[in-house]
Amino acid sequence: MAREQSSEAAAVQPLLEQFQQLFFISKIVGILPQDLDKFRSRNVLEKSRNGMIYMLVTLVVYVLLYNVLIYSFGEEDRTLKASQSTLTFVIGLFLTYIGLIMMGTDQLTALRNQGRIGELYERIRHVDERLYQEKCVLDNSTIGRRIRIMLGMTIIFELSILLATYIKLVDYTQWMSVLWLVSAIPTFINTLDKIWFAVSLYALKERFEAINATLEELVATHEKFKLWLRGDQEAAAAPPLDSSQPPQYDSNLEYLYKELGGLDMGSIGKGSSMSGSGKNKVAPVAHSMNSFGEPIDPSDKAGNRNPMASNMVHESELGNAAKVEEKLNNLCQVHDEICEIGKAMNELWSYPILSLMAYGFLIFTAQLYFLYCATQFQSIPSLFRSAKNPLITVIALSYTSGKCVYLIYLSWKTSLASKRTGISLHKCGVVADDNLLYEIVNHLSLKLLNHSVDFSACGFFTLDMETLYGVSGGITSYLIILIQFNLAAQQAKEAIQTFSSLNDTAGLVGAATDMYNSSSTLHDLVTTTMLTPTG
Amino acid sequence: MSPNTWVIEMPSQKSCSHPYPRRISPYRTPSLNRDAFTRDSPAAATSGPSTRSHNHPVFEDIRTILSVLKASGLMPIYEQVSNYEVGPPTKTNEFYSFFVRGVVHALTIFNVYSLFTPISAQLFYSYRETDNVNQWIELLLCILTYTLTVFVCARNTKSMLRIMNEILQLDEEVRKQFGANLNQNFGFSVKFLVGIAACQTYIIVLKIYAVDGVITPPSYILLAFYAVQNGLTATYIVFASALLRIVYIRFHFINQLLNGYTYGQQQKRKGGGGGGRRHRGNGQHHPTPNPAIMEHFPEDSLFIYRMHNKLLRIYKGINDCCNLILVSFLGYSFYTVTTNCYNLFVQITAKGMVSPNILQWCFAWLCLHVSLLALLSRSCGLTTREANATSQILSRVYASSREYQNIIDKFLTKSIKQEVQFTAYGFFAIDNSTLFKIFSAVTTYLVILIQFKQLEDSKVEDPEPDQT
Amino acid sequence: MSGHLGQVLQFHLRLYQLLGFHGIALPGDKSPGRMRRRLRAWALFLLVSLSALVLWCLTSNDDFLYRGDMFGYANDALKYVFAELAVVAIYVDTLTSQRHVANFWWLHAKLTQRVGAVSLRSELRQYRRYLICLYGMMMFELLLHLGLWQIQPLTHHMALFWMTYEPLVCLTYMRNVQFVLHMELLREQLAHLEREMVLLAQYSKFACETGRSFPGFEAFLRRSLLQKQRIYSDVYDMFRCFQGAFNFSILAVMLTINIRIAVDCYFMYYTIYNSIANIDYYLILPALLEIPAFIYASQSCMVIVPRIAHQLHSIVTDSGCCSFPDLSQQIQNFSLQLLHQPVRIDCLGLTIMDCSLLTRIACSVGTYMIYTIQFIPKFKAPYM
Repeated sequence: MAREQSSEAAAVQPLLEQFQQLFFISKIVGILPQDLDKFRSRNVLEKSRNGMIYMLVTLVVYVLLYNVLIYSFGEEDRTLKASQSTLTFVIGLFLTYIGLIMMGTDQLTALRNQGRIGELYERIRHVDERLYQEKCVLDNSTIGRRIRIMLGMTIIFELSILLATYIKLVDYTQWMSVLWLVSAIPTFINTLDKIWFAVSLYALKERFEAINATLEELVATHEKFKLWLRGDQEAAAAPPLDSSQPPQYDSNLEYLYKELGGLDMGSIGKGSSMSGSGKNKVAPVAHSMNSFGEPIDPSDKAGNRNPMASNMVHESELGNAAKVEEKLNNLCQVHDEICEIGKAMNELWSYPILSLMAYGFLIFTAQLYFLYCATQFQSIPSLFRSAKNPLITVIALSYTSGKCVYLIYLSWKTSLASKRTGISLHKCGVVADDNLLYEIVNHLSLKLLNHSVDFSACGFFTLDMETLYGVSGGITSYLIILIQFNLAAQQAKEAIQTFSSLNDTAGLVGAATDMYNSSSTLHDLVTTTMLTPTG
Repeated sequence: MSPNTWVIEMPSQKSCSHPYPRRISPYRTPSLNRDAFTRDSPAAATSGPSTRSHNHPVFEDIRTILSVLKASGLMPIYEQVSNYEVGPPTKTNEFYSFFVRGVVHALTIFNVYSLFTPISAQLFYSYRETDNVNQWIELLLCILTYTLTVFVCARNTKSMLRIMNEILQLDEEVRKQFGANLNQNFGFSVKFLVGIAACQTYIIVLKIYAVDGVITPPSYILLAFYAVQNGLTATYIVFASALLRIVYIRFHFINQLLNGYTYGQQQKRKGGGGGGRRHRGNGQHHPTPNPAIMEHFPEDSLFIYRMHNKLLRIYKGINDCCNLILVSFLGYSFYTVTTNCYNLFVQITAKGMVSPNILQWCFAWLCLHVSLLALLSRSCGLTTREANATSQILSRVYASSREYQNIIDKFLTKSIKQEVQFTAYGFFAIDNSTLFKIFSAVTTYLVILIQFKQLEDSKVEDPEPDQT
Repeated sequence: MSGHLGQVLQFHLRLYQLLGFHGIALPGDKSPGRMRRRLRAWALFLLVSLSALVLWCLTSNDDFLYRGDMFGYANDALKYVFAELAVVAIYVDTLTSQRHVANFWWLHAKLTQRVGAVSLRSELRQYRRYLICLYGMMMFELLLHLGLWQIQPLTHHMALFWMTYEPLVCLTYMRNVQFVLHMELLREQLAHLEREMVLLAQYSKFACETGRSFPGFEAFLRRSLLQKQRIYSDVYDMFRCFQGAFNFSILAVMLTINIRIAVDCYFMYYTIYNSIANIDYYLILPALLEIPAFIYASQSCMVIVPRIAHQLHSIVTDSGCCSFPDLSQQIQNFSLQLLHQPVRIDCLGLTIMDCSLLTRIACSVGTYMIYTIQFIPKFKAPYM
């Protein structure tokens, strides 16, 4: 058994192999405490005391630097506090520290989890092995590419925000301004940590999809097998959607075949019959579901499935219920195991995700609000100076929201992919139309209904699109409230200033009530100042 | 491993606090001897000899909180018929509860009366200011909540006893079947009790110091009764959480039992140490139970289904009993948290005149209510999750024979549409997300309130710097 | 040459092709590939020209946007921006999701090919909801415009604004009605399935009550159930295609209409309150009807699946005379399939499109109105 395992291990490349660069960077900036040498040599994440000390040191250094930054740039804020409303000031203070809190959460959670993350990847490797036994090979190279793209995007975003702000909005004649570079540290570290999560989640999604593809593959081979049994070789060229009655070539359907054939060569029926072009030989519809939203690299799927497809054209596993039961059971167990891994992963990252979502919500609202304040020439906290420039604001907002939305979107897609397994399983049952198989399918389908992957942030809210809807509603209403109050306060202030300039001392306390019976010239003055706030 | 061997494992130190599925005898001979490995709860060890009159007093774990509730008339002073049954209270005890409730209602009427007359004026400086109106409303809400609690408790005496009896019956069955004693340390309830008492005393002392002049006796009564009301309402919430925790332990027990049959555990059993690699990652959270023998599955699963159903009924019963109380408590808490946060903010940002008295007052209230809310939502969430986990664990059982599969299918089919939830009178489900919703609502209100205050301030203050 | 689509459908799809909403060729067209490329180019052209129009309106010095005050200016700009968003989403969807649309129509053709040629009359009856929706909306909008400009004196700003804004509004409405058409087709398939299930249920009941069944009765029922399962699977795939093809544009169109309602409601209040002689706020009335039309269609689509499940379970599997274990297994399989494949129309999973959405929209519009109304006129009103 051990030998068998080792041979499997050789066949299945571990997921972590793709994480080399990411791990290296994370290690340097102090996100992961695990041992670098062991990772290099054996692709395992192991505890390391030195790494832990290094990480703690980096954490302390970052916190110190950030505080120095806040102190040195806070000079301007002290005058601000006197003039600006207290709420703006307090919110600003809170907002300056939330980045730090987020970074601290990430690093401390990584410290806490240092033993468990390794186990997680070990479990994924075992899942891969089991999938391999079911003739379902996964290609991890897309993941490596994905990591590189994400890293590149992160660096581009961070650099563009940092440099643009530094050049345009920081007084770089003073040497203290170099400290501004520190302001990018928390977000950078946070993003790196989230890349780990996102990529692992993506890997899980790919595994779900691999299971679905295997099931669909079974369906497709069985349909071909049935057609072959009937000796209807020509009909085999038709799309195997409705095997009970091969579709007639009437004018209508023919046009649509042409249409679909023109859209994507070999995707439907004609192209996929014997050539095994891989990408989509199941059904046009099934393909559209797989490719919906997420681009799947066609090459890897084709590469994996080609040999199988050509071997098994004329024999179907679904014909043999007893044999297929084992396979379906195994797939179901793997599905459950992936669900469990998803849950475990969610638990490991639950606090970082919670803090990220809180950060995203607050920063998004605040940045927009401060952008509004800046257009009205009001002073804003110095750490949010990027809000003075709309373009930088747009970049910063898309960076922050991109992070949050991508995580939410990915977890939504993952749970959708896990739910698709049941549908594929039922297709197997329906296509085989065998009593024994129905029994199996019913049993497993009940089981699948009870497998759940729902990602949540500490149970406070689930990570799906509904939450996104709620959050965007929340941001809108907060913005409206804040802006309206700001507007009202400005108008009140201006109105009162006008009064006092006219020496209307009676209106000091009851300004609002006295406004009502004032003269018409005053009215004109006030309305003009109010209606053209920007001038 | 032959079915005749005793499968008793030494519990690892992590699983000490957890009940352990333990098959005393494969032949199901009822054994009433307590298992050598079952830990006596510390509460039992420290309890005085007076409670030892019965060799195994029921609800040992939450004795303290029960006695407080009994004394205040919120719980019936039941009689213990046997180890696994409680009877209705005796006439005198019933009369005592009745009497206490009557006193409470009389005091309530007195308090409401004094709130609406100038007697209590010295406690509120004047009715004009928003803060005092807030406090006034808070007081009224507190009175309302407590009165409601008393009424609901009085009405639900019988169903409360029934729930307790059901729990006890269930315990007896578990004990007969598995010899496991489902006790757990409910130290948190005692800690909370002490915390509540300390908090209330502290608040009263603060209030007394804050009032200038001599305090009249009606004010003293008002304050004292206010504190008692708050404390008892809070105690009731802790009691509800403790009950939920009890249910949670039972659910957890059957889930652990079922976990032994899952494919991961079965493989572990077959493959010895090497095969069970799959669940290694879980090891830290759930002490991995000993894999059970598949032959026992039909028998055990029947027992588990029955227990699960009973537990669900108990869960629903508890929910029915404290529905209304929870709703009013949540409303009261929400109001208190909002106003206190607002006061705190106003105090901190007010220039120059920070009053430590009010700060402490706000902090005490916030601590009390936030911790209670957290406790309630946490225990509700835990229990709900555990109740829903049963079907998930069952779906992990892979049996080879048809007949076992049918057993599994039956339960899974039943639980498809059966989403267990603990609701607040049907308005919303209580779990962790409730906590989140409450806090987001509090934040929204705070932002609006603070903005309004600033708007008012800017109207009053701003002209002055312009003139100088 | 109407192919299998029927005249009504053919005509309306042609109409959508003309608007650039329908990116694939119709049956009967010569060389569908070239047609498709042409339609794609046409959609791209429309997208670019409409975007240019909006850009011009936003940047021009002319009176496109209300110049009276800052707030009105911002609101008009907001309307343009969201209309532009909708246009972009619509045409991008058309350009990129031809595959889904083609699949949708392919499945539709496959599912309806058994039905022979139908008369125009029955076709009109078949699509009556959609037709009422489309032509009712058009007539209403037209009448409103005609009536309004009779009463309301046309200022320069209004003329410019409505001339440029109205086409965008019409496009969003037409797109909305296109969603309704697709959902109506889905609903029809589901309703058809439900009717067949009812027949099956009644048949089995009859057979079991009277004891009159033929030897292969169970096998017959089982086979027809299997057929239904396949059909349901196809319908579900149709639904997935619908989701895939229209996800973003549903979101964008709903959002645009919603924003317009919120903004215009506020302006309605504002103009009435300040007694400004301007009644063009009546033009939101059609917008108020668009959202319910969509939601009604999606709701009526979604309620059928539970009914199918109900009918499925009312098929009698065992009575005194006959008991069919295989049949009950098939039924269980179908019901599990229904559980796994729920028809749930939600735009990108954001929110489910049923009647509760209507309440939520009303609530949110109300809340925003309260905020805005509370604050803006407070300092202005006394002087007016």
